Amino acid sequence: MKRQRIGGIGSAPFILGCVLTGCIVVGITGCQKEEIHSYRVARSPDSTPATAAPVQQPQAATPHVIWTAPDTWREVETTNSMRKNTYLASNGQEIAVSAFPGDVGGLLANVNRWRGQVGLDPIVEQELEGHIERIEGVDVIVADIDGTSERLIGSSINVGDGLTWFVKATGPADLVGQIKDELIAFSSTFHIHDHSDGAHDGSHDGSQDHAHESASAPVEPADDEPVSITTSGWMPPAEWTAEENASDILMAAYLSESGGRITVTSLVGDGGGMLGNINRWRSQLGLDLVQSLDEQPLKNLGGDAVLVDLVALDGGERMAAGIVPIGGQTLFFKLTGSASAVEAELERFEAFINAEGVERTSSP
Amino acid sequence: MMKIRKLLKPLASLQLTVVIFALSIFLIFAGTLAQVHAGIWTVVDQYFRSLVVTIELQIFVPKDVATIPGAIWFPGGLTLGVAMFVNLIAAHAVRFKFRKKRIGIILTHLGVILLLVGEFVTGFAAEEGNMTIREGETVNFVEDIRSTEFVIVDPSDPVDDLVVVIPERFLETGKSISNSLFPFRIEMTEWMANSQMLGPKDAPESRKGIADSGIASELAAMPLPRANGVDGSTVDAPSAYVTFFDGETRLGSYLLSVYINQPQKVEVDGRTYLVSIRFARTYKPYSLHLIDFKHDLFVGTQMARNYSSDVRLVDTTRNVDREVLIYMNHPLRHAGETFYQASFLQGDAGTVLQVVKNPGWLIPYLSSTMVTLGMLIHFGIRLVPAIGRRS
Repeated sequence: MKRQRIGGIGSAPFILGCVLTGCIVVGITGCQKEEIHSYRVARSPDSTPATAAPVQQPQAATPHVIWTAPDTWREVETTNSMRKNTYLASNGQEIAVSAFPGDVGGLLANVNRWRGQVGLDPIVEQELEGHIERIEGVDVIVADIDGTSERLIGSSINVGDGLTWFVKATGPADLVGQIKDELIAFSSTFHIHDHSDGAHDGSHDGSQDHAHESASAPVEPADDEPVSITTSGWMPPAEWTAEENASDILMAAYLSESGGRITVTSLVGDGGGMLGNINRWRSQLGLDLVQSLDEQPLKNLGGDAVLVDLVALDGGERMAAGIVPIGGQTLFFKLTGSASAVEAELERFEAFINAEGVERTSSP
Repeated sequence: MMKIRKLLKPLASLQLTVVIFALSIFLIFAGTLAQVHAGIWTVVDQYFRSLVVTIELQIFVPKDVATIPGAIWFPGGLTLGVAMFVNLIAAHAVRFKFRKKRIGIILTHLGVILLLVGEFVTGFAAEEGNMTIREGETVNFVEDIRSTEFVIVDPSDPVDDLVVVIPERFLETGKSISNSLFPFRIEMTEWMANSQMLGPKDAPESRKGIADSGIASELAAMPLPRANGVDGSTVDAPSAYVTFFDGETRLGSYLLSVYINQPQKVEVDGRTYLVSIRFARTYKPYSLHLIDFKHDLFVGTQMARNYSSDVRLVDTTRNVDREVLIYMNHPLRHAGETFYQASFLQGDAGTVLQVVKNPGWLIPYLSSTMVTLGMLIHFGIRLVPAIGRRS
């Protein structure tokens, strides 16, 4: 049988093959060298501003500023310590609320800072009025800046508390444009809290941190908007003492005389689901995971609230946890410690969950 | 059609196949020897994911036997991989015809093609980094400990930082770096790809006074050989002596290092910039908050029984807010990434999670299965008639 010869080394087809292959290699891989580049990022705690004036958190003595977000906005976790609040509009656009002492360099400086953030050159004082809108009846100034790649709508609010408040939305032009009216209306709701404002109207208190947002419970939440829950009125048993230096993520943390630790956390929505959380706790105690809630004994605490009681295989550690869904979020009450410590505290713990969690869900 | 076939014919050369195989075998041999002195990832990048590699002749002979100067240029793994891919595709296009008898061979070759594609996907798209979180801290970025960046931060905005990143390839001793993104010129007085930090009492006289500004002027950095993963050192810790100039005005010399986890201030025209050298960061749309790190021991021993990180995952873009327990063999999977419990900080003060994203992770399994199946079919097809003939 005659074999087809494609070409030997040194032959024209072979050399041509090598050349073509080389071209394809370079073509496919190209030059992917990284260049000097820049980006903006929310300030991290380790890059303390050097030129900016030190940012002071409003003190307890400063007037409380409150505002009301549109029903369609959802409050989300604010990890940036410079922000007072972060919201997500129904179209997914993020809105940031922040406050800084004084006038932060003045209106022109702020507008130019925003222009810089969307890739535009600064303007001069004489051009300023043409780039801002002054909202009638309130001290709110809005700048709508369509940048090279993003659009930014920011409002600068002065309510007379010595701070300048900013509400800002940056993103795709159409998304930001859709919420412009809402953003302006939202900015117009900022005002100093007068005690005659009533117990609570769904507003937020700017002088408090995120985990302890203002609200005098019970509150009537919007359909899917998480209610704000404060621990200020909570009455832990006398045998418990508040834990010092507890993590910010915890709404409350107590230590019992018997050596148990009680913590309360609030997570948006179902916080990962009941089964997922129970399995996570089972893992922490070295227990096998369960495939469904049917395999896990649960005590009904009323409504959708349940109590789960888990003991490590060697009987050393024990964990009792109350899961209380309430107004678009879930409260997780946890009692952990040695089996004996948890046993000693279990009755008080259950009463505490009932008083501070379950009864809220059934309050009018 | 004939024209395409004519064009593909040289690419389908069997001689080319043999040459590529021979070159690949040599490259793997040289790459293996190179790992004696260089780290595995350095070798992977230099030898197997490059177009061309400079192979130092010294790697073939131990230094204590003979000193061999010089180096040769050699096609890198990327070149050979693409060449093999093209050669195989062309060969199928030109020579192979679909017949039942050849189904095993075709399947085997398709498996090999898929394997090559998988490595391209991994090489170009896979990301791997670390998330180091102290208890109580929230982190929204991943660090690549195999890559370093020079960072200039403009903190003048009250909310956001403007971060300018100078990638590692610009960082060479003697290099001058200027760019419209920052208002000064940077002279790299000395770049150390790996280094150790010495205190004021330990620093030799020759290293004292190189840095005259910044918080680390009392310290000194000494260059070290690159970490190779063999002698105990696994990660390069780069440092640099850097001098900043505003036009012709010297602003000061600084010692920057990944050891110094605090940015240093450089002032120009009344504005302050924060400069640092750090492991390359990639910011993520989600954040992890470390609630608790646990390091369990077997009772009465110092032997680790379990490491676990109880974290809160918040991703506003996906409407996720949940607590997750990450522990050995139970990684967290989120947003196409996998978070493994990798290490922990001294004194159990925090956790180190390895964050891996590899869209091509399944391909090697699939291709190996195809190759195995193809070979079994091929041998089966040959074996059955042979047995029949014998009987």
